[in-house]
Amino acid sequence: MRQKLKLVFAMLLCSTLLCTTGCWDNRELDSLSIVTGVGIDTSKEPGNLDLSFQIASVQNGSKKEGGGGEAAPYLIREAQDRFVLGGIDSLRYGNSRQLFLQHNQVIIFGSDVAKSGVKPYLDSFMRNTETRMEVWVMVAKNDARSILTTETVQDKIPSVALSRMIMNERAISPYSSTNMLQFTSRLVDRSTAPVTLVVERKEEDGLQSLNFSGMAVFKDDVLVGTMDMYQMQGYILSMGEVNGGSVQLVTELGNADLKITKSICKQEIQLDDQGNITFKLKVNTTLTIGALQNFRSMDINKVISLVNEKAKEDLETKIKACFAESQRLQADIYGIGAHIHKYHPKEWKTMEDAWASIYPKIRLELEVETNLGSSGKISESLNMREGHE
Amino acid sequence: MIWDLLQRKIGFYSHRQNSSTQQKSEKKQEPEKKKDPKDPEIMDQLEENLTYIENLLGKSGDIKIHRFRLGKNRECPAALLFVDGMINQKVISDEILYPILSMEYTVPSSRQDGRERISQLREKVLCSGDTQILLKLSQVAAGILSGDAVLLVEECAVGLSVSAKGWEKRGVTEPETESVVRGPREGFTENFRTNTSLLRRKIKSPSLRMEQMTIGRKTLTNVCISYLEGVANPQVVQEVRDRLSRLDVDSVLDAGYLEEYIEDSPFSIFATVGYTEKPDVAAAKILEGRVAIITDGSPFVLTAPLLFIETFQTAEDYYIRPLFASLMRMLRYIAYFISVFFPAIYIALTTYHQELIPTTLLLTIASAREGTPFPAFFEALIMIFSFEILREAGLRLPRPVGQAVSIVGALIMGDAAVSAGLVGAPMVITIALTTVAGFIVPEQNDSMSLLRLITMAFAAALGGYGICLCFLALLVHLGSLSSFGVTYFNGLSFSRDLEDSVVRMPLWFMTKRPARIAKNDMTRRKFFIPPNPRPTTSASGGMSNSGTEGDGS
Repeated sequence: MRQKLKLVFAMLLCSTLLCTTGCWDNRELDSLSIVTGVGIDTSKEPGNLDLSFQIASVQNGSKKEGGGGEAAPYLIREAQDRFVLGGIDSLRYGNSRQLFLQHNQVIIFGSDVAKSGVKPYLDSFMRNTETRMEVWVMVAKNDARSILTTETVQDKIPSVALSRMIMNERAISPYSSTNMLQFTSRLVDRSTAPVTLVVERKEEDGLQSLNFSGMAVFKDDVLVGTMDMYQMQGYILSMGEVNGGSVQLVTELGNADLKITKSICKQEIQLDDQGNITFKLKVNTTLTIGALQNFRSMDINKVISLVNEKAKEDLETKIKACFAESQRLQADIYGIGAHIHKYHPKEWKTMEDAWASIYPKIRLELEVETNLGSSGKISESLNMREGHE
Repeated sequence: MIWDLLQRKIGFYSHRQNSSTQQKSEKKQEPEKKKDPKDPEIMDQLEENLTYIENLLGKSGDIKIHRFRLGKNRECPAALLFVDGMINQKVISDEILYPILSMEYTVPSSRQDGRERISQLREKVLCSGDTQILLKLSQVAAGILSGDAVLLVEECAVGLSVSAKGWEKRGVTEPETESVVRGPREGFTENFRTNTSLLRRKIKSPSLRMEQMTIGRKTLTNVCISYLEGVANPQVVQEVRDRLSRLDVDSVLDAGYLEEYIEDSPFSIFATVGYTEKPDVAAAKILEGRVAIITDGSPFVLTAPLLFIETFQTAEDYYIRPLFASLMRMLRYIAYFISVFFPAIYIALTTYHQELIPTTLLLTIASAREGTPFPAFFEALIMIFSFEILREAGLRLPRPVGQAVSIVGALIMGDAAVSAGLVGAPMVITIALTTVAGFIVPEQNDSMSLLRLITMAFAAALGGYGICLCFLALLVHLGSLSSFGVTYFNGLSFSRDLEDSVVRMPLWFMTKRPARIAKNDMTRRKFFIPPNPRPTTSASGGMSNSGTEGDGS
């Protein structure tokens, strides 16, 4: 009897294991609309948002034969609502499939929305369990919808193309692009200003393409300005490890295109007794020669030392330009405030409120060291050879 | 239904216990009934004996009774009994009849003991090496039926059986299962003696034991327990002996009959008795301390105890070099995992955890799934069932037809079903990979097919959680199984066992027999003796001696 009771009990336990879970959240793939990108713009109606969801439209692979594939491989579903979630909800009606946000690649804010502050919209993305924190946050140069409707050539779905572009960018440096987690952690920091990439749609001869045109700088959650690619390179160089990118030099003797193979940077922040802050940067960059033009009848060693010197100057100006721009915008993109908060908490208390006015007064001490190492497979350029003859 | 099964299982166990006690009581009674009227001894009168045998065996055309007369003056009637077709005619004529009839010798007078007369024949006349004195008529019948010729002589109360076995048998050929690229190609046959001799030829050690017994009330099948005395665990040997002698069955037509009666867990999806068709494999297992059971009429030799890891070892692992063998062995474990869990993982990912699939892969899968009418689980079920049907069809049909079936089946399944939009292409790939992976471990093929269905059902109902439940339940079940007193899941722990489970270490590295199986004489070789191309002077001495001992022919 006891044995039997035990058995029944064990069976009951097993059945609870099986019956209380179950297939209630079972979703077949063909009942989903896989959202790959979300664009947020301001609507013409005040207070409303124009939400565009890019949905990968999937066609049965075996059926698309005979040089078809003319239709765009995605759909854009639009919704107007005060809230992001409300927009998603309003799309639920009139759509045969459920919006599936887990695979969302990018959230693109139109510049209007970004300028009015993004906090209220990020909230719903963070709160919702369906969305990932790894989604890329970007700012469109104009409106987000036009970005999502660009006809990209190789990766047909623009949002997927964008996420791949970002991955390429991150191979060089992880500091220019931000995902939602990084973006919001900077927002929480309060003194540090988030940065993201600015994406721009270009159209030439009917050929559309997407491009990163620079870096958007936020102050708190409001877009205050953009830096161009020139300043952006200065920014990533001063933030830490850089594994790529090029430096183009135009001199009187000839032109050179240098590749950055590796660049490391040491940041140091000093706070003296008077409350003056010094931001010390030690950048050590290794470059290789990508191309040399002209430098007629010059010795290669001389050319290298000349180019090296020029590269150093170039990098210095870039970094300084970036720093100056950030001071002009009063946006602490380097996290100097966070550093002081961490290591000098007493002083920080007095600075915290006036940080926006203190930040522009920070002195930059820059030390750039460039090593022009390898010259590639050949040493002298073809032009230089001619000069010898 | 499960309840019913459980009840039956409990009933089965209780019955087994009862029957064993009954058998003990029967054994006690045995010595008392010596003179049984149903089992008479051989009588003095030849004709009486012959009529008894004729009555016992009925009118069977193949049973021959050859009457003739012995002695100088042909005064003594005698008869030779045998079954036509089971004896070698040459042996009958050259070794039995010719010496008896041609040699001039006097039959001892009738006053002498009959037993004496027969032993005279046996010692002086017959040219056969395998003779046996029979006392009972039932022994005579059994002797005839097992292929011996029995000589009965007037006024001798004993018979003489002479081995003259010679029937049609299949030669030693390469087995179709367990085929190897490198290694011995001979396989066991249906012939009992051939099989035992194949084993003897592999292991010439005097301590190789072949314990013979007869099982099956009607079939009287010869069964032989083979093991290495002093290496095999005596308890395991005793257990095998007990289980076999406990059997009271009607017939044994194949080793599979025995396996079902002696295995530890009859309701498990895992077999706990191994089998092999190759003498080298059987020999290797005996050398590891296992027990082999040879059944007359079956080319499959059972081996016990069986471990889970053993099914992942193949004969060829030991004949090719260890690095590649280890790689292949790991591949087999991976293939096993794929074969059991891959469809389940696919179902769970596409119906519950779409967020776990990389985006581009998800889009590819989604576009293939688009427009297919069935849910992923049913799609998988359809594919697996049609595969199993195809396999079964190809297996039973004659080979040329079987090929046609598989080609048509593969075309319809693989191509037409996808292009008609009934099944998504990724599912076809999944099932194809799954089933092909299943063939890498042939010994676990049946367990894999069953497990696959179970994991799929759980994945369809519970997603990844279901797969985890299945995996845990599988581990628990595997851990609870045992085979002849040895834990089935042995060999995967961090111990010396690993040298021959996940990887195959070089032969010179494996100096000890597997600890969980062999009992005594654990050392295979004394030290690690890695191959050395430059032998030292002391090492060369021992080699030449051992070479002359073996007589490989």
